[in-house]
Amino acid sequence: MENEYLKTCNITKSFGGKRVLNDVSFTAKRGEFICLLGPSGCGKTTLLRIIAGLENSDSGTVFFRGKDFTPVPASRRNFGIVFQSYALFPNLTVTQNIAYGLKTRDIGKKAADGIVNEMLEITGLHGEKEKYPFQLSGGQQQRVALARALALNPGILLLDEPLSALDAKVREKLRKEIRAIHDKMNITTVMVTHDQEEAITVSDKIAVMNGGVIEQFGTPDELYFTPKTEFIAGFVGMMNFLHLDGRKVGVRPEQIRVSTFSNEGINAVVKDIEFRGSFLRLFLKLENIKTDSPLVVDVSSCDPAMQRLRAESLIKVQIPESAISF
Amino acid sequence: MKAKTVTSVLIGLIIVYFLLFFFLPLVSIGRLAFYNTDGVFIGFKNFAEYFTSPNMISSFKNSFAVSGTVTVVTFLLAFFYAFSISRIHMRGKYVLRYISMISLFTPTMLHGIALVYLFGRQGLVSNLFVSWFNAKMHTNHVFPFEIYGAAGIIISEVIYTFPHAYLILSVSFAMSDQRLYEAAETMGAGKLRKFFTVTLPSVKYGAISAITTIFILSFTDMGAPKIVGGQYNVMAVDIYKQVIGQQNFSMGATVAVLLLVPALIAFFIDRLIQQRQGATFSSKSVPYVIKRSLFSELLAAAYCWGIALLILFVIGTSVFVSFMKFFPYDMTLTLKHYMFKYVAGDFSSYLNSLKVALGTAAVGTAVAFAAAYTAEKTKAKDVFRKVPYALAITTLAVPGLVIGLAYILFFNSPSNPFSFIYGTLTILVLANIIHFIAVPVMSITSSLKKQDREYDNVAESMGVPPVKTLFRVTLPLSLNAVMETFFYFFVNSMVTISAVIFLYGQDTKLATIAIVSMDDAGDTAAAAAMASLILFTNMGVKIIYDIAAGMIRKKTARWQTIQR
Ligand SMILES: Nc1ncnc2c1ncn2[C@@H]1O[C@H](COP(=O)(O)OP(=O)(O)OP(=O)(O)O)[C@@H](O)[C@H]1O
Ligand SMILES: [Mg+2]
Repeated sequence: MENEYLKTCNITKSFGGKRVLNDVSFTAKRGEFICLLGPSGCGKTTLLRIIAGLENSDSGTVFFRGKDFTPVPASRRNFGIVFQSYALFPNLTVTQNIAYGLKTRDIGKKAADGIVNEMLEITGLHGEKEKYPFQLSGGQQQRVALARALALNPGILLLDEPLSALDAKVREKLRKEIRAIHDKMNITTVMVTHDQEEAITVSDKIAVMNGGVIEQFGTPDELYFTPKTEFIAGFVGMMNFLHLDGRKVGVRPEQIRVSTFSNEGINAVVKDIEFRGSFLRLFLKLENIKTDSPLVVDVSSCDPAMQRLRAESLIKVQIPESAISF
Repeated sequence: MKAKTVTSVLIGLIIVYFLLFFFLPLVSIGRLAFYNTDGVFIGFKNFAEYFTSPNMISSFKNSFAVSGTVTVVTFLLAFFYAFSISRIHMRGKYVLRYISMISLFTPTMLHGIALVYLFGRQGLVSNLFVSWFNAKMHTNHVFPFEIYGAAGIIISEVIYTFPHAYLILSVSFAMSDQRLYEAAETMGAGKLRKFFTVTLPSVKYGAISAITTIFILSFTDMGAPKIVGGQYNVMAVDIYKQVIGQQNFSMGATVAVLLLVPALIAFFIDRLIQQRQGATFSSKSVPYVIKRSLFSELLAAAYCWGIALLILFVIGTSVFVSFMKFFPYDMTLTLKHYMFKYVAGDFSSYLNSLKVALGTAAVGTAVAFAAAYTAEKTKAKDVFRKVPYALAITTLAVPGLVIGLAYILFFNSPSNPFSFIYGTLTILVLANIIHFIAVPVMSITSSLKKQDREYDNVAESMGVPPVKTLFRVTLPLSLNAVMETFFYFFVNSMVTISAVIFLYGQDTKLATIAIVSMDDAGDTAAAAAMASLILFTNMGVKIIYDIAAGMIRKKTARWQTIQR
């Protein structure tokens, strides 16, 4: 049962004849951090809402700790949800927002205050507790939403793009915090995101969705190193696609070796160079090999030989054996 | 499951409410217009009779002529008034806004009475001034202007419809986007060109709404033509005469249908066009920046103050007269007209009006909120939850007179189990709620739409019952709209005559009805006093409302970023 803490089986959902989710299944272990990753409109939010019980699926089942939860209304599931818009009640203070759900439970005022304090502690909001949502920064609002969802000690924490409204620096900091809170409370978490970097860095497992189906469900490095489909290969990390001997293979930019003096390898011409700080990204045109787009190769920006490269420079390229074929 | 049942019951109740108090009464009018007294279908026989009667045809033409003229005049006046106030730098805009809205607080009879006092046979201008002028100049002029008739009706209706048009137009002007003006300017557009290519298109939808509103209001108003119409008949008064005067209910119903049809057409044209509007004003829009120009400022100020003073002058005349012993011959200050002694109306009708207005405001606000809430916030099936909203909005097209007539026909029938409400204050409250509910439902809906839909989902996921979220979050966030609604119902119930004139009983006479009977009986000063009393009441309520709203705003300012 601990291995099948949350399980969705063959979830299907259409809106007005348009199939949004098609036979979606995945399983989360207790305490796992799962990401639902995919491009806009692929059905992530819909799946999350079905798990939460806010939306009914057309067919399929949601199991929680082995029990069929499909007919259980959202109000009885005790799943914590953080919405993309946070949906903080603007007329209630931070404390009142966090305590909102506690009020209806018979736990006594003292216990409720204790929980609120603990949540303020965990999310670092003690200084803000009497403020109203509009007085808070985006990141702080996000934390309040998180604290409010966690206060009821939910069976699962569901997050719908919790960081998408924040700027890059805050986003990076907060995703670390979310992961830290997850580890500390050991709470099974499902997070929706369309940012593959975010998914790779925080999750134990990622379900990559495309057009209403889960194309692959696996750990971040499984997805990165052994993507099952071309879509995954292109969506998770950067990937070059080459046509070699009639097959299509994928190679990561950092797996390709280039040299300005060696005689071995394939001839290539530098088409463009991007300075990316710690590395240089080269865009190459290969001789005799067809690529979907210019071959992307990342090289160290400290390498003097590479620093000398200009557009139209000639270069040798070695494609590693580890290339993935499709 | 439980919340779902509650929702379904609530929606069911609202639908039953509208069926019972709106739809079925209307059907009974249709029945009367198309069937004879034995219940046999007679098709358009009544209408044929209507259109062969020269009197009726002339009323029909008069109604269109008057409301057509009123529509053009009010629209132009209100358009430039709204334009000046929102687009030109001026002092005292706040005062101008207030003055323009005073006539919302008065029954239309008050304007008619004022006009009679000013231009009638014994009028101040028409009689005293002209004879004074003749004596001074040794001339023999006759006042060239007959106020009883089309002119009087038109002036009264213009004053009556002006604030409605102004309010709609000023909202449109407020929603214009400065970026469009800047774009036009960089492309070298001059003032006039900007007006025609940017300003006009951006208020297009508001203008259409204003025009249909003015038309419907003036087409269906009975108060002013009753007082100042003289021999000039219009359809709204015909209904009254047919039903109350001649007890000819089928002809009354026929006229009612004829009154309803143009109103319905105007209503649907407006709906259709508004639907195309979509989102022309986004959150990215930049508010219009007023540019200074001395010439246009002077022109605008003269124009606005001219209109405002005219409104004040007309309304002020009635108020002034009500305090004079015997205007214009004995100008001693007195309160005797407010005693309502030895006249065809008494003070209890004022108290009845207060009761009805408070009842309408309280119950109406609850019904309007419930209709808006179910449409906007519940999870029932779309078709099902939109029905109450659609029904509520449709009431906008149905004139008060038609509602009133429908109610007598429906509730006075002995077979109706609700016939016991006939002749009570309750039926007046019910008629008023249906009469005025459309605007409140729209404004509460738009305030609910501004709230995050996820509020309810968050609460649900926390296992908090919807009722608690309604009281803890939804209602506090819509407090402004709720208070406005209460005020709107109150003020309109105080000034209305059309629906209630058919429905009052021995002990449930209202102030507006008393005005008409006093005026009929020649107790014009008392009628003016009663009309002024209504005005004072509404102004008092407005002051209380403003204070309360200010206090609430201060209290809620702590959590409100944007104040509306
Ligand atoms: N209530 C609804 N009614 C009709 N269509 C809907 C509804 N909710 C979602 N959809 C449609 O279902 C599809 C999937 O929507 P969903 O919100 O699940 O996508 P998403 O993966 O979360 O996308 P994003 O990254 O943009 O949030 C979209 O095409 C959307 O338009
Ligand atoms: Mg989404």
